[in-house]
Amino acid sequence: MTKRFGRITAVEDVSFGLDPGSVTGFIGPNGAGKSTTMRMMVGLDRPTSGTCLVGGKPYGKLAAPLRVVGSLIDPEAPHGGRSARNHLRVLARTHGIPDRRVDEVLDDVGLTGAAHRRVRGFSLGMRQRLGLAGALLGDPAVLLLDEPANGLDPDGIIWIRTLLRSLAAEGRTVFVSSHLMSELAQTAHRLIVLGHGRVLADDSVDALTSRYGARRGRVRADRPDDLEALLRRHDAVVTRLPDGVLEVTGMEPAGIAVLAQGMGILLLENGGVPASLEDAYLTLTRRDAEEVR
Amino acid sequence: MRTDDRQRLSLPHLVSSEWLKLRSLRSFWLGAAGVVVLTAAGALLPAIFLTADNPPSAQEAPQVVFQFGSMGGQIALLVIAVLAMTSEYSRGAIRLTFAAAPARLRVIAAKAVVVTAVSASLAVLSLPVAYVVCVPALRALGLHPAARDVLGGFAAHVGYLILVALFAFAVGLAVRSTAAGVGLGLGVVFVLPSVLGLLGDGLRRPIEELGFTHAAHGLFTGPLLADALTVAVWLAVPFVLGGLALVRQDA
Repeated sequence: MTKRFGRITAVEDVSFGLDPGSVTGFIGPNGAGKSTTMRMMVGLDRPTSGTCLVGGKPYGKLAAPLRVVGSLIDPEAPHGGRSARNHLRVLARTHGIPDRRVDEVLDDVGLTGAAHRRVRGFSLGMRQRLGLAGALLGDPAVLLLDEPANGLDPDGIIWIRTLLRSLAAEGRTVFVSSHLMSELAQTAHRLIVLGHGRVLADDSVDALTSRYGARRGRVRADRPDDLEALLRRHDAVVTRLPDGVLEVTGMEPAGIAVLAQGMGILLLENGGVPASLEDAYLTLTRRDAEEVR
Repeated sequence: MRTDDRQRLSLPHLVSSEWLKLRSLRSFWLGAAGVVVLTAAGALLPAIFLTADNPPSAQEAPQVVFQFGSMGGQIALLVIAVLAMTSEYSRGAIRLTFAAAPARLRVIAAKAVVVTAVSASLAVLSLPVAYVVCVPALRALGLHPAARDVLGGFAAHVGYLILVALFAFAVGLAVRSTAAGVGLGLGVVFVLPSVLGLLGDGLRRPIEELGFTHAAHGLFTGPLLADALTVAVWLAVPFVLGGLALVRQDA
């Protein structure tokens, strides 16, 4: 799909498929086009070109959309003057879903105690939970969740990780976006990385880490200032940690050892830190930002 | 993942949802109370100002009473009808509505059904109150309108109030802003008749007949075709403009 707003291309030739029984993370910096893509998937935004099919049909042609796709697009959207329960009842009525299902999903997201409170007084975390309840209402096979962990407290983040995994384990297709890798690293089976409206990478978490995650060296020396200057002259990226250790990317430990020996610098420690998914994500998005610049 | 085929989108389900959407807000009940109170307040005018010097005929009296009553009640009714559409745009609730029901025109049809039913119910409830307020004044003038005239005036003004509500709803659909919708609606209902009357006097042409309120009243009292066409145009323009924007634009 492609989406243009006037001269601005928000999403360009984004194409991917989603598999049941797994959590697919949709990650990219703010403004990368994640929300626009998700809004197009549920028919809220009209693509400039392209289409999204759910089980072979456009979302707008589904006879019971809530029972096929549950979406959380904007947690701020519910009317503040309505109670949480009535908000969900309004959604449920569109499909003839009974009120007992509303009570079930309120319980699932931990909002039973706040069911009769007006949404106006809800925190962002509670609104996210209410949005999730709305997405689960029709017991759908597909879940599209745009930044569902935003505003959740640490307990809430752990809760949502577990929930997403268990929903996928039930055979559902779970598609969840975030701009923070830490939120998806432990949840997603597969990641689609978006930058400036284009798919930068689409692969399993392990494959992405090994392909793009730069290995970092951890070096301690008797003359850290000299070593830092030396490594920088050889195009390595060096970060000085508070304990005096140098974190080095762009150069293997053996290369560091050879350079240090040549300058008579004694290395007290010279080891490697395994590549991380966070590094892989930063590598991808920085490279994309440089290309656009 | 359940497979109950009765749980699907349908117009009756959407109407049920839209009715719950409206009645689950406190502002709706305040507005509904406002319709009754303002209709009764409007009817106080003829109750106070009808005197032995300028009495209407017994046949005219119910029309006069219901006209003043509906003049007051239509203010609150107009606000409710505009809000039925525009309240969804204040924080983006319309995206939730269209994600649940992607057939946007079907959602608008369901809202229009609810606005029609609600305005009819409120008119049926409030206009008798207006008449009761005026009964002592009418009796003091020796006026005893026939039941047929009372029922005729009542039905005509129920119809008029439904048309006002539908027009206000259509304006809300077209402008998507509560302030603009209420402003435009009140302008067309209260200000435009005077403007058209003055223009008509100047041009020596009866252009006040082109006004919405004139035609909407006339639809239930006078020759049908011209007024029906005028009302149809007043309703169609905002409905078509709003509907086209709704279908073509992003939610």
